[in-house]
Amino acid sequence: MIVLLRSFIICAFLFSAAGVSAAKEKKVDRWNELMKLVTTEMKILESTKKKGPDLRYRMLELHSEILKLIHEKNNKEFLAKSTNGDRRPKEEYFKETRTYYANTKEFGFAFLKEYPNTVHKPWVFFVLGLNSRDYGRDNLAEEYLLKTIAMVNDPHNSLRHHAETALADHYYNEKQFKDAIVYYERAIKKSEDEWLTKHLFNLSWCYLKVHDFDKAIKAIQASYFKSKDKSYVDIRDQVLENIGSFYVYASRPLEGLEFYLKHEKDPVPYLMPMGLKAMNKGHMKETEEILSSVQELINKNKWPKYQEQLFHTYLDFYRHYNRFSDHEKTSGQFVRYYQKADEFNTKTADKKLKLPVDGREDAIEKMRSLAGFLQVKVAKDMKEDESRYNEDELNIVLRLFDHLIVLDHTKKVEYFYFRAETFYSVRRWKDAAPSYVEAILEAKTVKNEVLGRKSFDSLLALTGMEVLPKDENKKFLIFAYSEHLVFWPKDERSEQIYPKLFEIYHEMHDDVKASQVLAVFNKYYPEHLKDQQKHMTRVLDYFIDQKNTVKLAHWVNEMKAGFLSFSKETVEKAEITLGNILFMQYQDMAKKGDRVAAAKGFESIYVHKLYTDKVKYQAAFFAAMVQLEMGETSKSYHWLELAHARMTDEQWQERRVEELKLTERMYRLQDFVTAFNMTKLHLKKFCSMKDDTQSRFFEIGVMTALVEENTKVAEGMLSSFRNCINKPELISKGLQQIYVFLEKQGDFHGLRLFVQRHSVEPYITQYRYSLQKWYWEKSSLTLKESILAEFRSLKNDETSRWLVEMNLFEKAKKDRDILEAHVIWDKPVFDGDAYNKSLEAYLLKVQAFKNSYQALTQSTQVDLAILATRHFSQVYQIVGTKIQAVRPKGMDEATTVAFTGAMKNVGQEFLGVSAQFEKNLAKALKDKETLTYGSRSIASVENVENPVHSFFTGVTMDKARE
Amino acid sequence: MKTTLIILTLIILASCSSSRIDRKIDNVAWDSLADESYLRWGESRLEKQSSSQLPVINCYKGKAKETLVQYKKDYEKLVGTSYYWLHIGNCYFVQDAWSKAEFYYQMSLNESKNATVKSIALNNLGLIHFKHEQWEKGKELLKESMKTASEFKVPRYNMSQLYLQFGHYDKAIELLTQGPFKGSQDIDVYFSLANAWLYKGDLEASGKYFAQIPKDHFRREDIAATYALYLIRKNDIKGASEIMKARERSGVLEITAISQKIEKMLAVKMKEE
Repeated sequence: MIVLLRSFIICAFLFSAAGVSAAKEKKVDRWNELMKLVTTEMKILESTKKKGPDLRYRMLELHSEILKLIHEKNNKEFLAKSTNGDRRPKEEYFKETRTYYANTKEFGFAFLKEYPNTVHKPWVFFVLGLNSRDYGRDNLAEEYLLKTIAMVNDPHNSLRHHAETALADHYYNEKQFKDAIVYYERAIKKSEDEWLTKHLFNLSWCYLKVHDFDKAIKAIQASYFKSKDKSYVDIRDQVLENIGSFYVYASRPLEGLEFYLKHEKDPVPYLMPMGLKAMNKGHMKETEEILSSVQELINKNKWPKYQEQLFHTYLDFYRHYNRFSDHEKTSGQFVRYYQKADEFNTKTADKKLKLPVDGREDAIEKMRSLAGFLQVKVAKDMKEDESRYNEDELNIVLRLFDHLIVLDHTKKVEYFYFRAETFYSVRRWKDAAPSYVEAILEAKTVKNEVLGRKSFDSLLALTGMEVLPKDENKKFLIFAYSEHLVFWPKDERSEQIYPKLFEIYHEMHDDVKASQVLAVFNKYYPEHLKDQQKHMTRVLDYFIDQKNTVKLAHWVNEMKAGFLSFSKETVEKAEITLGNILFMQYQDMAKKGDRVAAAKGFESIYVHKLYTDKVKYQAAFFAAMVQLEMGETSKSYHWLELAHARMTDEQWQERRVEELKLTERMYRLQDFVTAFNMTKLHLKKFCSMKDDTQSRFFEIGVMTALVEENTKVAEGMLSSFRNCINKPELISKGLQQIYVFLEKQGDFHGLRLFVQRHSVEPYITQYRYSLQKWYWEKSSLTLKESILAEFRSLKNDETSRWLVEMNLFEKAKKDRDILEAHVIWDKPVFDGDAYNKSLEAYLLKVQAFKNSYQALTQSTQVDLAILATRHFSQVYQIVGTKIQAVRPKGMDEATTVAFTGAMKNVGQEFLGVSAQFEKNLAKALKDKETLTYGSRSIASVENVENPVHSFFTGVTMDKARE
Repeated sequence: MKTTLIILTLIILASCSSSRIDRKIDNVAWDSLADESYLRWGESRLEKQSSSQLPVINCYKGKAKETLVQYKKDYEKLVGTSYYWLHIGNCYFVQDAWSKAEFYYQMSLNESKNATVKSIALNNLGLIHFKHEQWEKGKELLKESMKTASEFKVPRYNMSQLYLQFGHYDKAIELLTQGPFKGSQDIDVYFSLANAWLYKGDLEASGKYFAQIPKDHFRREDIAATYALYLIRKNDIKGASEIMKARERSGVLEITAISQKIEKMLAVKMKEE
């Protein structure tokens, strides 16, 4: 026995040493070390040739040690592999243990067989009994231990005590409590056993099991109090952990509370489990008191480390007794605890000081559990009878969800959803809808598709039921649709939703959102483009109906930028419509006479950055028209320029005829310059068109240039744009107009240059006659000289002839003067022959004059013919008068009379011819009503022409007599 | 120095020159053309006349520019009226803008279907041609005007001026004494007749018409020059001289030249006397 004891001590030492070794060096395998030690000793003993009973017993002890180590190893393996999912039966892990147990047992019996009377026999049975109890499956522990007890008569013998204790433990383990009690009662009599406290503890449990609660409590209390004695093993912790239960089982929980409070400084760790046990046993009041005491302790001693556990206990308690409201209130407190704890722990570095929060998940679970339970209950009640559900229970559920949302924020989306479902289940639609909204939004945030879908389904179902007020329902429907599309832009349901959502927005006249829907629809379902375009057209139609030009303009711009791939024709149509609406109001204004406002209106459209180029140019065009209607030609042109800047060539082309009309109006409004500018613009721009419009512009261009008396510009027009017209005759017409103008102006140099540039008929001939007319009409000597020089340079037969005649006429004038100055007879003595000769010579001169110059009276130059004829008349007048006036000196009276009479007759002949010339001339002028310089110049008084001048004395007419 | 004087003279002459004689008649009794033309209406007569119905009156009041602007503004209101283009033309005529006047007269002629308006347009166009010394064309237009509306006096009067200018005195006399002018009292008609008879050589007949012209009109340069010639023919050199001295210078270069000729002649004759 001593050896056995020694072995135990050695083993203990070894274990502790091993433990120290293991503790000291982590890598040291304690088990190996121990096994090595034991097996080494075993080998030594086995190697001994003569093994006496002591040795054999020692070997039995060593086998027991080895058995223990093997069991330890097997157990470790069992624990490790079973957690790895190895599903082998447990026994398989302990095969080695069982085998070694059998071997050890065999050794023991072999030892007894060999030494049947050995003093070690009771020890052998004791060891066998312990081995059977701890490692065997042969249920022989009782037998062996009883044998041991039987072999030791002395009740105070330590082996007997150990055996009785072991047997008591065996019965205890085998739940043969009554039998255990017998032996424990014996064991506790040995007061020197340091394990007395353990035996009392076990005995208390046996009493408890046989429902002898008083004895049980006494025993366990004894164990507690004995533990204070250092002679005994201190198992107060175990006692404290269990004594509470004892009181509970004994239906005396408050005594337990008192025990704890009295004997422990910090009974909290024990009170809560006791409370739970009391709760489970149905001691509600007592449990509440216990928990309340715990709370008091926590508060009083400032032990926040227990608060979490206490809250848990409370939750369990309230849940147990269906005190849901209290449960919820505690849940709320619990949530606040965690909030504070989190905050505190964040600031605290020392782990020991941190508040416990490990129970958070359990707390969440408890709240979820209750919430789920109540939710189902409420729904069930509701199903059975609409009016029967418990409002309080509902509120508890909702509050629990509130708590969970705070506490378990990673699953917020679930709680939102559950909350919404709760409302739904009790038909509180008004609350359900916003709750679904919350759930959806949260699902969106955390990307939880599953709950997102569920929430959508529920919300859509709710809106489909139309149980909410119309506006609200719509609001939620819109939300559901739009968020669904955000979640799943491409989805079977979404494909249906797009047009529905569009309809809603369209009905609300929210074009921005309606179009956004279409845009997204198009992005994900381009195959539905036609439908999308149809929808958008409806939006536009609405704006057209409303005459909402701002919106329409915005969308036209969008369409132009490619929105929904509208065709060019469609976009143009929309633009035209927009333009028409925009313009209609101002056109009406103009029609009603408020042109200034109308013009301003069109101008405002032009400057507005919202509108497209097409609309702007139309606006500018209308502005131009209105300005023109107000007579503001320059402003009109300015606006036309602006319009042109925004037009494409095609668009401008379409406007040509209209612009022609505007140009016609411009000159009719006396603005020839602007009208000319218009023609130039068009001729240049559309030269290649060569059509009637171009031709008319051409005509107007020449005309307006000439009205402004700018022949250079008019001619420039002819040369620059001659290839831009389809009526070549306009060129010659234009030239004719320029010629006529130059001639009218009496512009010799201009006309000369013109004829040099256009040396064609009829200008060449007209030019000669114009110069001829001017030569005779104009008084400027310089001009006359220039004309003569020009005639010479022309080298034309006709003008050469004219030159000859003109020269001849000048000569005739000189010769006339000579004839006028001539003196027929001035001698002092009359000589008939000499006189006759002189007269004859004079008359020959007159004859010569006539012969030389008579042809001039037939000149094709009318003025010259008239002047020449007048000249002749004057010459004959002079000759006749001169002859009649001859009064020769030195003649007697009778001769004088006869002479004078004869000369009078001669003179009269010439005077008669002169008169005849005059008569003929007058008749010719009268008959032909000649209106030439010549006829005017001869119509004079005292050689002074008539001051009456048809232009100066003529009168314009303004009206007719009324 | 001489060159300078010549240049100065030319400048003075140019600045004083005008295109037409100022023949304003203040007394309507002496204006037989009053109901066909505002050209000879004196200031007081024009002031009395409202321009609301016929805005062209303002052109004769010296407001041609503004009136033309107003015609522009009133285009739509007035373009359908008979005289719209005519009156614009007349306003330009008053401003000596001959090309533009001609343009609008032509427009009136082209666009109007009204015989009266056409006749008036033809008359006015005729006058424009006279400005450009296109006598035959002018004459044709006047003839056409007279044919289109034979009751009008003005075209007949204008034709008479043309005849006088070119020495067809009998025709001028016939126009001014027959038809619508029979029995009419008019400064220019009497002057024209006096002129015609003078240039025909019938001083007596000429004198009768001169006697009917109110004295203050003898200050008009063309009348003064003609009357001076008459007086010269009558050997009243002094009288002629006084008339010429008292005349108002018209500024019309052609008439100025005639006046200078007469003055030279008078100077010589006075020396001879």
